[in-house]
Amino acid sequence: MTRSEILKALGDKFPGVEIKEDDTNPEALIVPADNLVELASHLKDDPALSFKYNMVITAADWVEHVDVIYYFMSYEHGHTVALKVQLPNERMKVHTLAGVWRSANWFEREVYDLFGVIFEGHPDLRRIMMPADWDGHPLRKGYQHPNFVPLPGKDNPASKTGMGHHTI
Amino acid sequence: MTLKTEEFYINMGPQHPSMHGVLRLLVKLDGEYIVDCEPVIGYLHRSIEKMAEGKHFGQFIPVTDRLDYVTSMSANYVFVLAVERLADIVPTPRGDYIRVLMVELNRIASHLLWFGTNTLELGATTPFLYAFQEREKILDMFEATCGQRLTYNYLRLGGVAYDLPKTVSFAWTDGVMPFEKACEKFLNEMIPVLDMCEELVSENAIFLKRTRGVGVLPRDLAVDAGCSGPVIRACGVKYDVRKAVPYSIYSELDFDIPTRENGDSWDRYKIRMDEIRESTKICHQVLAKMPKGAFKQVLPNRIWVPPGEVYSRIENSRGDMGTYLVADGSEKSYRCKFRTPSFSNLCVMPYLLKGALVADLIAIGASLDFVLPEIDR
Repeated sequence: MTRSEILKALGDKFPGVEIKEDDTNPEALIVPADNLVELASHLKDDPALSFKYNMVITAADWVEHVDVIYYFMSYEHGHTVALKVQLPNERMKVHTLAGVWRSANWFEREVYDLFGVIFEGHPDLRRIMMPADWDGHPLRKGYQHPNFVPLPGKDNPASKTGMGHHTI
Repeated sequence: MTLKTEEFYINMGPQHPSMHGVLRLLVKLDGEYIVDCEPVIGYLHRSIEKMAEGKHFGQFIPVTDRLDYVTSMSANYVFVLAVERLADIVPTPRGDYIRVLMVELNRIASHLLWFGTNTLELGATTPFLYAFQEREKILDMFEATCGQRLTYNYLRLGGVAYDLPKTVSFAWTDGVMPFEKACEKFLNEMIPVLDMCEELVSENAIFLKRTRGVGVLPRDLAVDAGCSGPVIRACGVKYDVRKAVPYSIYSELDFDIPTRENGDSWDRYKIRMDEIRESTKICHQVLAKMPKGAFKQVLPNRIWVPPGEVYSRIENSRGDMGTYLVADGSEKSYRCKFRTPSFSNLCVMPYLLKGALVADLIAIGASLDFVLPEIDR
């Protein structure tokens, strides 16, 4: 199935839910965060869709909001789809999918660790990459390492990326 | 009267001599039996995904080598593929063929390394030496091609960094030989050695006891946990990204996907052995069809990629590897995430270890063939 066919199948099943195609990503559908679990469960359980394989869950920080993106694939039909939820900074919460796919457990822990997105209902939401006592979420665009010292020069490009000189 | 034993915790790793990399397993034991286990990762976290945001695309290719030092070519490949899709770059035909040749040779090297270390962990030293002897020949060829033995930094946008060498001379070649002839010679001579290695261990009573029926992974769990590669093919799921979503020239090549039904350590071992044979088939075809011409497109060092998102996937020797790349119109990635097969394959460890013996812990872990730098990134 192509993305528009999957969109139609979801639209028929959930008429009240606002789902739209993503302009920047040819595989993604933008869905509301509140309906994520029912949509994802339907994607997995409906035999015509049968997305049994959760490839990856990750996020991208757009400063005003964070996109959390879920890639699914079906072994049976061979098609792929991505669901994207857009979480504003003031409400960085979405319900977990760990109850639907076992693989979501660690993927969501990683997104929590590096972006600070809270997955409500997650059985074990702890840091996974960074040490347990780490401050902040390193893949956020505004993150600065506590020991970060900007390089001299106001317009030095290294100062802008946050990847400049570190002192111990 | 029943004797009750007390359960206790031990740490396997992060600095354990036979653990693959710095993985820490927090194991709850009841005598010799494992009651529960929790993998603790992150000891090798080098913030590769954050580094990607500070380097332009060409600069970042050598960093991808450090994702998985056993199959660096694949790690190069998955990143280059993502950038090429976003920037609409098509590699030259010769560059494409050289890439596939290198990735498949790298897959053979990776499986040989796995075979050697796996048998070593089960107590056999001889197969290890045979496997490394063959792997060494692949590393010789890589060294002649790109100057490196482990972290190759060989793939470029639009092709590869250097052309194949015209002639090579190693300890195992007949004097100076053309590269293609040397490669054919290696492939032809490796198969009998592989058969011998398999004969050495396959019917060995100790090897059978330590692998057959050990670490059985049910198919449903493997699918649910997102396992891929030999781990899922050993459970009877016939899935390979090279066949399912053919990238590069794989749709023109003739090869099979070996599958098995039981999902135990023995099946995972057999699958990898069969995959080496399939990879040699691919290498023979690629060498026969190798086109002439440019090995790389002439492109500027820095490339400004139009805004967009892409998810590229390849099959590396451990499974389904992917790159989620977001570009914002600059010469650097805005967000670059690597989906690595070992990460999901490791998730099932607690399930596999429940009820197993401590002595089998390393053996079961080894049969999953995970590489820690890939998990921690």
